[in-house]
Amino acid sequence: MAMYGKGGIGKSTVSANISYLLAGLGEKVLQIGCDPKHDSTRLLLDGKEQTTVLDYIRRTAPYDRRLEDIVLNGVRGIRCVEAGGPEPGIGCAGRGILSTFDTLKNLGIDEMDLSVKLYDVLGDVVCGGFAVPLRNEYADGVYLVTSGEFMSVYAANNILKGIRNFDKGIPRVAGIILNCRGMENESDIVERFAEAVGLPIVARVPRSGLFALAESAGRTLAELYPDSDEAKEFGKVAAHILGIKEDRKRLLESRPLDDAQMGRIAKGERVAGEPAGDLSEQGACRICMRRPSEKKVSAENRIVPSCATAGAVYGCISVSDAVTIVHGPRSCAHIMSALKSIAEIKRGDRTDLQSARIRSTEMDDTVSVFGGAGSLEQRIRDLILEGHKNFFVVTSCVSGIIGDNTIDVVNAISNEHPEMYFRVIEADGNITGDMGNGYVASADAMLDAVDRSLCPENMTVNIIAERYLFRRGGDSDLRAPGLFSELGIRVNCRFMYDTTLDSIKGLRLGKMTFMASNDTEAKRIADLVKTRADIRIEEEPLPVGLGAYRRFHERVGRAFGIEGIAKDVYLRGERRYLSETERLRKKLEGKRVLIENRYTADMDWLLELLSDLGTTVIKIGMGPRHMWKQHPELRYGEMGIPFAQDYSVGTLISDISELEPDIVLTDSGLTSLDVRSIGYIRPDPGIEGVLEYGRRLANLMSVPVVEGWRRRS
Amino acid sequence: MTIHPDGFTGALMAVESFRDGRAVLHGPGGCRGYHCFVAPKCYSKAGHGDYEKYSVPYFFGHPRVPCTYMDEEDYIHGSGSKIEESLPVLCSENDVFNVFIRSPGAALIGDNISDAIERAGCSGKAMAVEESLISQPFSSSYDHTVRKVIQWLDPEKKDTIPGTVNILGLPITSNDWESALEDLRHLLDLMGLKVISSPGAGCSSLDVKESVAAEFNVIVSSEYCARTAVYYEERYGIPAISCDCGAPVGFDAVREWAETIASRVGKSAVLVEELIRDRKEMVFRHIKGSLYTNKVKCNDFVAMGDGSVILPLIGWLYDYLGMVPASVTPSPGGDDSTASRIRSLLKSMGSEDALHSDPQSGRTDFVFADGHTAESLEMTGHCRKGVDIGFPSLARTRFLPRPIYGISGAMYLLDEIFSRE
Repeated sequence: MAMYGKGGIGKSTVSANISYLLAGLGEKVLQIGCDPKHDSTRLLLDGKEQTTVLDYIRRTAPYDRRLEDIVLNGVRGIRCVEAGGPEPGIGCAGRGILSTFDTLKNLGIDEMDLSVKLYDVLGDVVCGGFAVPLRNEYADGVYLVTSGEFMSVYAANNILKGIRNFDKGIPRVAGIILNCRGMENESDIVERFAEAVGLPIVARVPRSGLFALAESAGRTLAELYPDSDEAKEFGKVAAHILGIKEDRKRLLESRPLDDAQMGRIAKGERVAGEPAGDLSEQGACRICMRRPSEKKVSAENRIVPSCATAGAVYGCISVSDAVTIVHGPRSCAHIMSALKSIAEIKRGDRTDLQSARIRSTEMDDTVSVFGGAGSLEQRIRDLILEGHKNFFVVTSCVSGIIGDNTIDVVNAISNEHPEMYFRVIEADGNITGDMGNGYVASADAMLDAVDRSLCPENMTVNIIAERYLFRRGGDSDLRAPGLFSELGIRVNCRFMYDTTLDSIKGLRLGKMTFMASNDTEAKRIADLVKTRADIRIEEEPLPVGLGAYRRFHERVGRAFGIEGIAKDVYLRGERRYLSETERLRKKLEGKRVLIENRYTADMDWLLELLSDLGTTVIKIGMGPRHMWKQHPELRYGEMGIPFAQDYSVGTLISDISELEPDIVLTDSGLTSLDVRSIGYIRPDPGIEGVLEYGRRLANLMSVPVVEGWRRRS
Repeated sequence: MTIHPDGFTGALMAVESFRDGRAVLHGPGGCRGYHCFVAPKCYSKAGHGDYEKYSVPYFFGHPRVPCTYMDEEDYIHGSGSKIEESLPVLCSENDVFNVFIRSPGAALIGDNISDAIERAGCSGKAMAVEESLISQPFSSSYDHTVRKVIQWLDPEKKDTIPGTVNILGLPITSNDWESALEDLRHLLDLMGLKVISSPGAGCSSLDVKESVAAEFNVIVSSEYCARTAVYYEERYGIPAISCDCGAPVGFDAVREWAETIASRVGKSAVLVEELIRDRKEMVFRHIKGSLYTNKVKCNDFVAMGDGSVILPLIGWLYDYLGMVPASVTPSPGGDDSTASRIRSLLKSMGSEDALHSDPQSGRTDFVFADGHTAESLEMTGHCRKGVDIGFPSLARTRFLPRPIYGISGAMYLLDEIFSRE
């Protein structure tokens, strides 16, 4: 049974007295205090406080926890538990109740020999956490403890709403316990309310000085004054509970009143016991709320395969003179540092690792109850002591869900250290979106540093939104700036690739600014740079393929007045490209190519290369998650290339069978096709990356269709 | 340096360590990508036609660590329906059992996975680890999860088969654990002991059911099996044998490990000792035969890893090769007695300052650490050679044996060290 009521109404005293009397009737009783002030069981434990479950789980690892540490034996063998709660204003007390019940269950409380469980629950906010005892597996029935004060009755009505939201149609309410405050005509309002909601007043506990005497002795009134009128009222509840145990039909439906009806009760009017209209949950708590919902993982295009925190972290760690703190569990920071490490090791030859710029606040399972602000503050202060001066703080889904006020924590430290640089990116895991969203959010935060008073310098450029993950060797580092160094132009800032705060500050010094690619994130970042730093962005990104390479050199040549040099460089590249493609054509001329394009936004370079190599693209299949830069009908229809949308593996396999392509190109990592197939990603800028890919395509025609390691025999 | 993985990853890897076990991630897709990559790197169960077979919801082409793909609304309203919807798909395979692990975010919501499994009638095919293990030590969470799976499998008691053992405490995240298992099986075989199973290291649910007939459990790395060993002892009366010197890493610890087991089970470790002598003789000949004899002497090293591994490792490197510890950092999750032995050992070498000192404070000759850290520190010039002794590098695909445990492990360590003599 659960005893619900407004805070301070006397639920704990009522509960303890009832537990005492039930135990006297031979029941094996467990009383669980579900109120952050954790004094429910004190009178059953000779006035002693006990360790709360939440304090216990805070300092004990999950696998070292034992039931006997948190379930104490009280008077008459009553088992006592206190949930406890966080400091006011921090964390989520409702979530604490959830954690308590989960912990007790995991530790095997269901296996204890008990006949009555009594839950003493704060009923001011009936959010998901405080509603846990209402769930079927816990309390069979609920008593509303109230006085004659209107707010107490109002809280009782809210509890009825909570009950109705949980188990519609199943009778769960046992009745009302009137715990008098000594007000004049106190019974009247409670009687009117009881009549309106159709509930009995099971006991009327008078206001009495005996309670204070019992409290000071650390005992229940029923123990010290068993023959008093007050004890007899508690006896009625104990008997009522035993009656319900025998016959659950004595439980009643929850029929809460709406606000208008409650207003009439307050005015002293009677209200007919009709159920109110739609009463949805009120006072819902973002953290602990539970409500069943119909949500399915049925299609790839409805899932988010990455999180914004990762994107933001990868963006922030491009700044070499800052540390990036992931405000979340260590697993988040581990995953990000491990993936970055893989990329760095594969690239090799680096001396300053971006993965080493990641730190974690190492939030554990207690933060849901106690909040994570303290661990964040401590982490920042430790890093300051280590000598760090520039900080990005990126929030994870954990800090997002518990609603940590990260900005205030960082602001407070920032005010103490005005010479230091702090930026918070509230990425909140996947709550704010995918990796791209986080990446863009980190760009937004960094752009605060740009000095808008600076003017462009000649022969300088910026490159923005560069990302080259999982490439072998360090060539990619050099190819983008190499495009400019050949022309005698200096790269001012490689924004979000490898840079410094000073370099970002001087972003406006670049005379021209190029996107590294034209994927969605690059375009969003370009828009930000344009609006936040008032910098013009070149429409075309860094060139990939011969056509783009030519346009790039024409444009840069004009902009810097070096047309002659730019033309010479281009012609050298063109000669190399034409000679190499001519050589490769011998192996590829006339081949029919099927392309599976699940993710790649820009394929112009690939189509150009395939054309230059004399092949024919017979179909492009676009995956369900594809974010094309132009509708495929416009793009490929005009080029005479058939295309398909929502392209699945099954369709690909049947196309291979029907269309019999010579070559299949995929961007999904598919390696199990029994045809000549190979993957593709956007090559490095310039023409060398494209030619490298062309050589692999030519080699594809020479190697076995199915390599030995894939053969079954 | 790569940030050490925590209990969340530990739990997922522990489930994946069972041959027919499949970790199901109840959480967002962002937590899945890395784990569906790292799981097959540690223990590949890949088969022909996987991509086509698993191009279905929850898997989307990747056979390992399917995911319920929680989103923002799930954090607010719970995601019970997603769990319920997933169960028929996940439990449709007969030869696989599923273990739900909550992501850090999902752990806050408290969806009742166990109830959903029961309601769906899938209790024989799926279970959930209900505890949130975020930011807990990787090793003890691995142990906890292995124990939970064994508890769920609930093998019936069997008559003890004399001369049989289970190997406990060999995690699949240890470098080339499969070769290590083979090596340790061989050593036990030389002592006349048959290995029934290796919970936490590639054993199946069927093996677990047979495991309760073992006469003893032998412990490799105690961090990964302390609680599992206690469970076997309390529930099935199978005592565990562990070695004070830690895990069988380096010739000395391998010998001591074998002798400890032999004396407890009443067998002889003579053949193991002979094998070690042979190997040591071979090492002697190779070093003496090299142009520049033993250039590793007086080299310093950094050791970062599980206490049970670095305790024997630093002792062996010091005594056998004359190397000096510059920085020693045990991973979280080790027991107090191992930590105390490491402290005493370092003190006896005059290197007590090495404990927990900054591994990057200067350039050292060798770094013994997890794969990424070892490679990164070598790449950045912090050491001459990084040797992978823990969580393996995911940047490489390896084929030659590279275990750290057993006699093969000692040979691997020597090979790595002398490759940069």
